[in-house]
Amino acid sequence: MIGFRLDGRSNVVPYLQLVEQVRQALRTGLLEPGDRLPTVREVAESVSINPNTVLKAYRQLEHEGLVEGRPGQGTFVVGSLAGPSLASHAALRRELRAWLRKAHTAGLEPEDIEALFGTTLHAFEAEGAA
Amino acid sequence: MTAALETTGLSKRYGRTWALRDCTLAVPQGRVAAVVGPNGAGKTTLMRLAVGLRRPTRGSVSVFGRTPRDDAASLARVGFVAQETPLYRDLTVADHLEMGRRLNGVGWDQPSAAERLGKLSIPLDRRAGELSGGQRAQVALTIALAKRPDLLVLDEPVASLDPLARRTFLSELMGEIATRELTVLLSSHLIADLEHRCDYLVILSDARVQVLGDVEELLASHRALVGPVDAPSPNGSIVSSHSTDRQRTLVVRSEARSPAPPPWAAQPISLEDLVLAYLSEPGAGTLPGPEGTA
Amino acid sequence: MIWLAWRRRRGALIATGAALVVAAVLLYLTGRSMWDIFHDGGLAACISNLHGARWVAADGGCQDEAQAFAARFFPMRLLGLALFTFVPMVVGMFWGAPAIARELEDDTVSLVWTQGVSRRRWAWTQLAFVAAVAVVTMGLFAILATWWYGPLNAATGDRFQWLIYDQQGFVPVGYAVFATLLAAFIGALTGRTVRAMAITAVGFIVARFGIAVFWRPRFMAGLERTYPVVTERVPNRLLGDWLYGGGGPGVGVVMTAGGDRAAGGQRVCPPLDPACFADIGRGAFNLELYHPASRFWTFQSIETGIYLALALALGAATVWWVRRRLV
Repeated sequence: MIGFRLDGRSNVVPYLQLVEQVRQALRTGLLEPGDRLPTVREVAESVSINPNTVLKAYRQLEHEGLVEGRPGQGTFVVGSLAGPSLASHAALRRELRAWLRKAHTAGLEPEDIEALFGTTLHAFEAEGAA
Repeated sequence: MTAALETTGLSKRYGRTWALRDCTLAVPQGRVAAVVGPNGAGKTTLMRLAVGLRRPTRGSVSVFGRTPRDDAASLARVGFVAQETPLYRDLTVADHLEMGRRLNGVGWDQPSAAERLGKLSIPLDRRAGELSGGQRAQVALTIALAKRPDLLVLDEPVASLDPLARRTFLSELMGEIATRELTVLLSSHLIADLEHRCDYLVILSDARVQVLGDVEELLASHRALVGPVDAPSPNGSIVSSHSTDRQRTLVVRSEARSPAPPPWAAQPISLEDLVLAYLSEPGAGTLPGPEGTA
Repeated sequence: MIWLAWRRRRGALIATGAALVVAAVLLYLTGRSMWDIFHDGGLAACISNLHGARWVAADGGCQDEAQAFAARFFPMRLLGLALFTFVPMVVGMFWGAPAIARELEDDTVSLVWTQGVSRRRWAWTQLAFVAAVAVVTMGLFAILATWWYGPLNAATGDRFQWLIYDQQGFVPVGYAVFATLLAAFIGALTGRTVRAMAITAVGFIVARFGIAVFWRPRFMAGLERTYPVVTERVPNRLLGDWLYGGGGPGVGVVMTAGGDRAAGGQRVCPPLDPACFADIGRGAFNLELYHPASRFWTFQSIETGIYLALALALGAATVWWVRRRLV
C-alpha cells in the first residue's frame, strides 16, 4: 500500500498531485496490478484533505484505465506504467548513482544537479530522440 | 438538488447592532464549506442561525429546504459544535454519550460513538472538565456525529488547540466525511486549517457576504500579478494591490486563463492568498452571478 | 431529559442533603430540649387544663409559666427567626439561579439545544426539577421547623404572628418554590448566575415583605372583639389569635366609653384600683381587630397558593423567554 502526501508549495492542484503519485508508483513498480489502493477515508484522514479531492483523483485514475473500483472491496490497480522498461531500472539506477557521485565530486550542489538534469532532459526531448 | 444550506436576505440584529445583514448564500450538498472572516463578521451568527439556535430578524434560512426550528425533526438533521466546544464539566464522557442516546432516540449511533472515542483513547469515565482541549473537541465532534446529521456545523472547533491536536481533529473530520453523506460548515481563524480541506468558500466581512463560491473555481479565476510599480494596471478587476518602492503585487480576478499582459508576470494563488486579499479590501467582493454555480 | 437534569446535579443534591441532615440534627437537639422542658416544667399541663378556653382570668391563664418559658428560650427564638426566614431564599438562590444561567454562561445550551429535544421541554424539565428539589428540601425543613416551634407557639401564642407564621406549616414551601423560579427566571434574563442570586435576594425580600404586610391581613375580613378595661377576664392569649390591626402590629386600641381612641395597646385594670383607669373612665373598653387562631391553616393555604401561582407564572415566563427571546 502506498502513502500519499501533499506539497503545499506546488502549483499543481491537489487531486492531480495524488494522481501523479499513483502514476509514479506504477512507473517504479511500487504498485502492480492487483494491488489495492488505500480507501478514500484512509487517504482523506492521513493526508488530512477533503475526501472529494481523493474521489476526484481516483475517478481520474479510473478514467485513465489504471485502477478499477470494485463495490464493497475497494479500488484496485488494473493497469501498469512500468512496461518492459522496468527490468532495466536497476541497472540504470546504478549508473545514475555513479554519475551522481561524479557530479558531487565536481562540486555540484543538488540544485545544480536538478537544473542540469532538467535542461538536458528538455533539450534531449526537443531534439526528438526516441 | 436542494442546497444543504440556503439563506435569503438573512439578517440578525442584536440590540442596535447588525450581526448579519442581507446574507444570501447557498451551500450545495456534500460540500465542506469554509466560513471565514474577521472577528465579529457574523460567522457565529450565521452558524447559529443555520442550526436553529437563533431566529432571523429578517430574511430566511433553510436547511435541506426546511426552516431550522426548535423541534425534534429539525434538530435531528443537524450536528453542531459551538465555539470553545462546550460540554458539561461535571459529567463524564460516558454520561455525555448517555445524554445523547436519551435525547436523540433512534437516530443516535451509540456503537460508532463509543468506538470512535475508543480509537482516540479518550477515557469514558473521565469528567469533561478534566479533558484536554483536543479531547474535549473530539468528544463534542463525536456527539455531533453520533446524531448522524446531514449538516454538520463546526464553529472554530480547533481555535484553542495545539498544532498536533488541530491536525488530528481535522484529519479525523476528513475521514468521517468520507464515510457518509454529510455537508459541513467549518469556520476557522487559520486559513491553513481550511486549505485543501474545504471545497466551498464563504467570506463574511462586516456582517455581509463578501465572497461565495467553489474553491477550485475561485482559485482558477484569480491570480497574482507581479510587475514594476509604475506599470499600467492590467484589465480585469483588481482585488488587492500591494506596492513596494519598485514592485507592485496585485491579486486580480480574470475569467480567462489568458497570458498576463506585459510587463506583468502571473502566478497562481493559494486559498490563503485569496482570502487575505479579500479581507484586506472589504470593498471588493465576488458573488456568483446569474450563471453562478450556487 | 430528567436523567440529564438529575445527573448534572448529583453533587448539588448531595450537598443539599448534607446541609439538611446537619440542620435536622441541630433542630432535633434544640427542639428536643424545648419539648422536654415544656412538658417537665408543667407548662404543657397548665395549658391543657385551660381546655382551649377563649377567655381566662386576668391574673391566670398560665401567663406566668408561659412567660418564664418564653424568656428562657428567647435567644433560641431569635436565632430561629434570623436563620429560618432566609432558608427559602437560600434554597431558591442556590437551586434556581444556576438552573438556566449556568448553562448560558458555559454555553452548554448550544450543546443541549441542538440535541433532539425542544427547548420548551428542556426548560420545563429544568424548572420542574429544581422546583421539586425546593419542595422536598423546604418541605422536610418546614416539618422539622413546625415541630421545633411547637413549645414556643404554645408558650407565646404568637404562631400567627409575622415571621413566626412564615416559618411553619407549608408557606415556607411556597416561598422556596417562588424563590427558586424567581431565580431561574432572572438567571434566564441575565445569563449570569451570581447576578441572578443577588437580584433574587432583593426580589424575594420585597415580595415577601409586601405580601406579608399589605396583603396577608386582608386574606379574610378580620373579626372584632371588645372587653372592658375594668375586668377580671381577658382573652386567652395563648390560643394564638392574630391581633394585627388597631394601635400597631400585634396590639389593639383602648377606647373611651364615648367611642374615642384613648390609647394604643390594651389595658386591664382590677376593679379595686381606680387609679389605673382614672384617665379614661370606668366605661373604657379594649377593642381588638384579629384573625382567630382557627384561621391559621386557611391563611397558610391562601398564601401558599399565592406563591405557587406566582411561581407558575414565573416558570411560564422563563419558558417563554427561553423559546422566544434567547434566539
